[in-house]
Amino acid sequence: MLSRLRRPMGWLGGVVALLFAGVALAATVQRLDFAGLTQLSTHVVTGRVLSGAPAWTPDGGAVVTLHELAVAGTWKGELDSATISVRTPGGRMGDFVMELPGAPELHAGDDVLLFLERNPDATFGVISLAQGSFRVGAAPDGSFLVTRDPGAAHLVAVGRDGSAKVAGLQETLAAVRAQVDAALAAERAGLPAEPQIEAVPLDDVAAEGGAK
Amino acid sequence: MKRLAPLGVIVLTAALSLAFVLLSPARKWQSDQLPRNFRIGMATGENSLANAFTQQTAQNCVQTWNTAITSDTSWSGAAPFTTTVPAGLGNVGFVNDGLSTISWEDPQNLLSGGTLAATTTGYYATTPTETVNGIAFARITDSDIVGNNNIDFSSYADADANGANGNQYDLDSIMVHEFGHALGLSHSSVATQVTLYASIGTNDFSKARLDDDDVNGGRTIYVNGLHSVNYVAGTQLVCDPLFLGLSTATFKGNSNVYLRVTITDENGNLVSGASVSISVTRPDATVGVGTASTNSSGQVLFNSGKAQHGAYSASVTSATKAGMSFNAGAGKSADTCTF
Repeated sequence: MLSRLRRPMGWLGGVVALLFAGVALAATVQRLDFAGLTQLSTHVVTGRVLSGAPAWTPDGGAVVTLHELAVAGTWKGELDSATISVRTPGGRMGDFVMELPGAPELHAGDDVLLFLERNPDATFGVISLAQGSFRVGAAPDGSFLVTRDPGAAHLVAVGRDGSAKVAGLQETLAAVRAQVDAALAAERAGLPAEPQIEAVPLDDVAAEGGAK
Repeated sequence: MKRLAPLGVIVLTAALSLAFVLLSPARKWQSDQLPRNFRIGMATGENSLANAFTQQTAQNCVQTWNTAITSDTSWSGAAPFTTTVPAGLGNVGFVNDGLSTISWEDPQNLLSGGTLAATTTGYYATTPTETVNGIAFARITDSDIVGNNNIDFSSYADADANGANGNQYDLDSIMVHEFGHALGLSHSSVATQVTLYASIGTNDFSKARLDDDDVNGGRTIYVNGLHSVNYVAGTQLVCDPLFLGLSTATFKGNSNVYLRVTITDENGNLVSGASVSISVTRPDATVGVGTASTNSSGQVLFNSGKAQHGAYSASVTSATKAGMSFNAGAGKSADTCTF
């Protein structure tokens, strides 16, 4: 019954399909720097988006888009294939559109850096929606620059000091790689995550946080 | 009369700051759909909170918006939104079935790690539309709110009963924020507004309320001939509230104890630049004091050093800002917590 409602069929379905223009989503996410993104990811990869195709979820409840990604580099995790399938929420099936502002906006030909988690169906989801998706582009000096996925503009990110829209970003790929590697090294060493804002130590507390 | 109609809209627009932002295209639950029920899907252990706190938080967020809308003298009739908590989970998650739910279930696995909560609204873009306050709204046909059950949430009630740590996310704030989307609001363009913009922090329970801009947004959508509100900044400094928490989710050898103080005025407006002094008595009877100024979010965070097992007590000994006086009896200027 539900799948019939969601997959317009017959004359009623046709009317629904014509009238139903879209579904929008707004989201709140944890504010994550590259260390936080690395910590939550099972895989961190660079690569090029080859294609994208919409699909219903197996229960017919939602539309997702499956992107084929040619992996150029694996910074975290191991892969047994040069291409992987990255699943993002939202997409268009016929006249039915499911929009998720805040979801990654991937297009064929995009060179990307993605922080991923493996889904039960062997596809990969992007950590923290568009906050875990980045564009990689060439700079005039020959270096590679990392910028935010456009979908991140629709996210509100929550941190210890309150929340804000996800800030813009432009860093070199090498600098980002260094941050990811540092996070991986800290993860291996079992170091605790640092607080995201600086707290004011009380008068008898050392600046590094320990009691005097 | 026809000439006056657009002028009326212009006057209305000018009277409101319109800092709130409507979902695009503008859409709402239309009059013939109200009251709209939101089913709270509950099962044992939905998230890190006890079910009673989770349920109460979801109900409170709906009531918060109901109050904002129905308190306008132009509103008539029953509250626009209701909640039910039927037995069992039922059809929860982002299911486009015409039934609105608030749940912590994501059967389609759309919420990746690091996502706290999200809201969908389905709508007809073409017809029928309903005009309220000069704005033509499309018709929302479904809306679902899903929270991430892997996140360590707390709530005002939970924190009062069990304490809170510095890494928990305040479910009250998140639910009030998300429900604003469910009724038709996008993120406010005004940074100082409390709920629909950049306003949610870990253990920041002061945000589980609406600011004037949020109220005006809700009324613009649902109250024809709305009366906009414009809270005048107050003269009293109020702690809202003071919290003790750990730097890690559970007590560990490397945990620190942090104290977050949020300062508002008596109208609930966040106050930046207030000088706050606190005193903390630790389990080993040592006393630490500190003074710092609130940031643009009206907050200051103190570090009391490595956590000790036992009871902590803390109080705000003074809060000062030119032209304002500290009302220690209002809000919550003292707190205790046992780790």
